[in-house]
Amino acid sequence: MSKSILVVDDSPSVRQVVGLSLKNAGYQVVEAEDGMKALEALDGRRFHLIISDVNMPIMDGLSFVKQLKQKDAYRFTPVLMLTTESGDDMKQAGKAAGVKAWLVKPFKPDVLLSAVSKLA
Amino acid sequence: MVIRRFLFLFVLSAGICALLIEAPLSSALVLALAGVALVSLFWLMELDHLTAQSHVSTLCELREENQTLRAAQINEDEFKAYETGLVDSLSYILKTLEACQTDIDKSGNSLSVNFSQMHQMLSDVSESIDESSVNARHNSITQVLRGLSTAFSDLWQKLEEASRHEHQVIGALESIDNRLSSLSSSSAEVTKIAEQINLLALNAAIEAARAGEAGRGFSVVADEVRVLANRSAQVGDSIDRSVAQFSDTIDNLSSMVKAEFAAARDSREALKSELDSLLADVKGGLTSMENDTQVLLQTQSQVDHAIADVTYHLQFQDRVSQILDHLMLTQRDLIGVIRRSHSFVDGAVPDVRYIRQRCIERATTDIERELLGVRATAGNPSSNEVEFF
Repeated sequence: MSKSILVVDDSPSVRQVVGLSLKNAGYQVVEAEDGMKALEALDGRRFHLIISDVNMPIMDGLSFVKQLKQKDAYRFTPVLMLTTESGDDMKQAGKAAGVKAWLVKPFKPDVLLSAVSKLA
Repeated sequence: MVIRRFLFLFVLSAGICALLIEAPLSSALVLALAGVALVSLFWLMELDHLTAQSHVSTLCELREENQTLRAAQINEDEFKAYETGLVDSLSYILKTLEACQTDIDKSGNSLSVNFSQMHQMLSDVSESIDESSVNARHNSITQVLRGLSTAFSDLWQKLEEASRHEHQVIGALESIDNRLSSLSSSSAEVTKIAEQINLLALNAAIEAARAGEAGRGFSVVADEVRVLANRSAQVGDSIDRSVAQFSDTIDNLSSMVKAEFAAARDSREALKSELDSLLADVKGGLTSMENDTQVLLQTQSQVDHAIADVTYHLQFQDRVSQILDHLMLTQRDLIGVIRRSHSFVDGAVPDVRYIRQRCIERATTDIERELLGVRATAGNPSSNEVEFF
């Protein structure tokens, strides 16, 4: 059975291209447009990896990760941040929140898939 | 003012009364009164002049004040117009940016959806020309072709072997024919010997008759020898006929076998030619398929690169949308500043440095930071490598 990945990004085009790259590599993809929708999308399902943007309306990526890590079922679910943010301070905040890896947009599909195969 | 007017009217009335009543006062008194009236008149005139000057000065001041007020009024109107113009322009820019962002988002989403569909179709096609599956199919066909070639080669060897057997059969038939000819000569010899024996027996019988009673026994022997000679001659004839018949049969068989073998050889040659041609066609087809496959694989590789490239560049929409969003927030800040800038009239210039600070705080892309002259704290922000924690 293929591995399941939750993609959280407010940009439909980014969700589209990330989803496309992952689906072609054989992963199952669930999409959410902000942190709040992502928390709703969890719904007790098991995800092998969560890929999230940082800057999103309603609930940003770091707040989402903090809330995610408070849930027992998802405490150890790896999170990859995929964002335009490249500052060290933001990365450190992500690391403190429980993020496992950081990739700056725009991404190359092979780089993303390589990271996903290591994390998922 | 009232006192001055009263004194002026009093002196003037006194003078007029003195002239009208022509009272018996001394003319000196009249003159004195007139002089006092005249002095009073001049004094009053001086007073009026000073008052008028004062009025004029006041009026001038009032006029200046009025002019200042009017100027201030004009400046405020102009400023309001200026403020309205700026706010309108900024609002227009803001709306235009919003429209651009909407358009970019819409087009970007449409592009990504269409790209996804195209990518899916290309993936379906490329699955059929996947290098490993193509190679597996190619290997399978090559294996079949090799098996076919081996089978054809074995078949040809067997046919060649059959050809060698044909020669052996024909040689055996010729050998039989030769032996039959030899047998025919032997039977002719037997017949000839039988005839000679018969002739000898006849001579013996003649000699026995001449001998009379003494040769009677010999005559019986001579007769028996003649019978045997005749039987030998019959056997020789019989053998000769049999050999001739057998030879005819062998000749017929040899002819038939040779004809059959010739036909088989022709068929074999034709079959070999066809098989060789078929194998050459299959090999040619396989080579052509190999070339086509290579072209397809190369094309697929190019398509994969193009897809990766498009995937990379399609993310512009997210980046541009963020930048436009930040620009619109800055525009709103500017409009707020303009709307609150009535204090300009009082000479107080509002501090707008916080707008730049807000821009820096909002900046999430390298482009914005570069334009704002600030750098992200990361060493190599756009390396497109994953940083693992």
